[in-house]
Amino acid sequence: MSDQELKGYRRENGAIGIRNHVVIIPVDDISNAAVEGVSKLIPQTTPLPHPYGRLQYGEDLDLLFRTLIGHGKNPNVGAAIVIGIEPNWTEKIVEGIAETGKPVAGFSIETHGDLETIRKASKKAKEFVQKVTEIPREPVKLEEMTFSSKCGESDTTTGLASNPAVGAVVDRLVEKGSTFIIGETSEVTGAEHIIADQAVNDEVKQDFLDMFDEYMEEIEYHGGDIHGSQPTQGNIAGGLSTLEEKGLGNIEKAGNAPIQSVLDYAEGPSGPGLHFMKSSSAAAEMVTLCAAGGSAAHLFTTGQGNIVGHPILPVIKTTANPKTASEMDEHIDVDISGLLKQTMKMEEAGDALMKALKRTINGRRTAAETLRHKEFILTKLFPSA
Amino acid sequence: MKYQIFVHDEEDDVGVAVTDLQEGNKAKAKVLKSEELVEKEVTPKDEIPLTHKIALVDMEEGHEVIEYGEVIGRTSQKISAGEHVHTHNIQSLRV
Repeated sequence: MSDQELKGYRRENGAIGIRNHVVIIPVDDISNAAVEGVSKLIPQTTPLPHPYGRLQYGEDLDLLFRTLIGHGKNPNVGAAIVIGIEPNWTEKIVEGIAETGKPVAGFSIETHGDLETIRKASKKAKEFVQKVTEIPREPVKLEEMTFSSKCGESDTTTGLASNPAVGAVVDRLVEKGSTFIIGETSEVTGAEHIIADQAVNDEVKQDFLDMFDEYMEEIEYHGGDIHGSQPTQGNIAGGLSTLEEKGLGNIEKAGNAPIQSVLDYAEGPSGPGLHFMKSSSAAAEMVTLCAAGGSAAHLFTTGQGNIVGHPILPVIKTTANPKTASEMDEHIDVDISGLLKQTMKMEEAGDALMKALKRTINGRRTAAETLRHKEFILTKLFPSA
Repeated sequence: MKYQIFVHDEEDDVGVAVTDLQEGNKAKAKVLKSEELVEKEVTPKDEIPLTHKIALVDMEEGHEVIEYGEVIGRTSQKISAGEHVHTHNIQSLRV
């Protein structure tokens, strides 16, 4: 399949999406009921309920805004509705999304109540659904698009086979001119020197090392020992013995392209190439941060069988573990266990992943999408006031 | 299957079982990241399940274990070639 055959949604700001959601974004926890109300009346919308958004401050509040605005701006979104208890934060998110030029409207609940808000927002949602369903899929190119990757429930097969296969795909995409986001700060431990050396210049290298050290110091500050959770029980069952071994396997999927920048949580890349985002290694949190950063499709490798998905970012899952590929086959989009069984070459695995990516771009639903995995998990930096 | 063990790097102390390894049955290993074909042989001294590691060489207690051509941890006891290598006999240096 050549690039010419790819079709996606070209947004007002030039960003390319592969899905066409009308999202309903709550600013805060207490607006979830109204958001759910709208999504029940207008079922072709995508609600993004979450548990935060009250009395957050400082960097944590900035991250909340960046994440919610980022989801509205994501090219897989055709239009957005924002509902919050108070008008000021609601309006701030609406304005952020409006920068893309896509249709967006905000509603605040105070002085109106849930029912009146649901009535008004549903009317707008109906209009938006009709509007976006008329947006045609147009020919698009891989180099115009942003992608991301992460591994989860890793085992030794991830580092041996599925991560190198994704790494080869990352190299191919970046060479074409695509934008690619990687991350999982704590999970590169033991291999941080290798990622640092992959930086495009000394400044980016230092940015990465500073970010990494700060992240790990924070983990120590909050309770010291990462080793109770890294490697995870699933990792250990899969044969991974130490954090360093996990990290060295993890970075196999970074490929060899130079890292252009170190992104803050949920920050979008400013240009093409490979970028490292400061991020948790918890699957749903990391995928959510990638969605906020503008990713249109996510390549996810698993060893023991992570099943994560996301409401607006299609997660394409691959495994090289023959046991997982057969026991959990409904979760796996691309079975590359032939690498371990020695019936498949690395280049064939790369081709299979590229093919799955292109089919997903063209509209084929991923396993996670069809199984209703819609994990939308905000990263929270510290307690609210 | 031609190989029962994959090894990342030529200098690695350990390999990964790509099928369940039986104690006493000689197993053949392939090094993935070498320009030319490099094969190794080792006889498992334990049952080693798919995805778990096997020692390719004898290691003293306190030895820094190499995988991916990098240090992945330190042996907490003496390990001989063919033994199962996991959390019971190696540990992270980042503790």
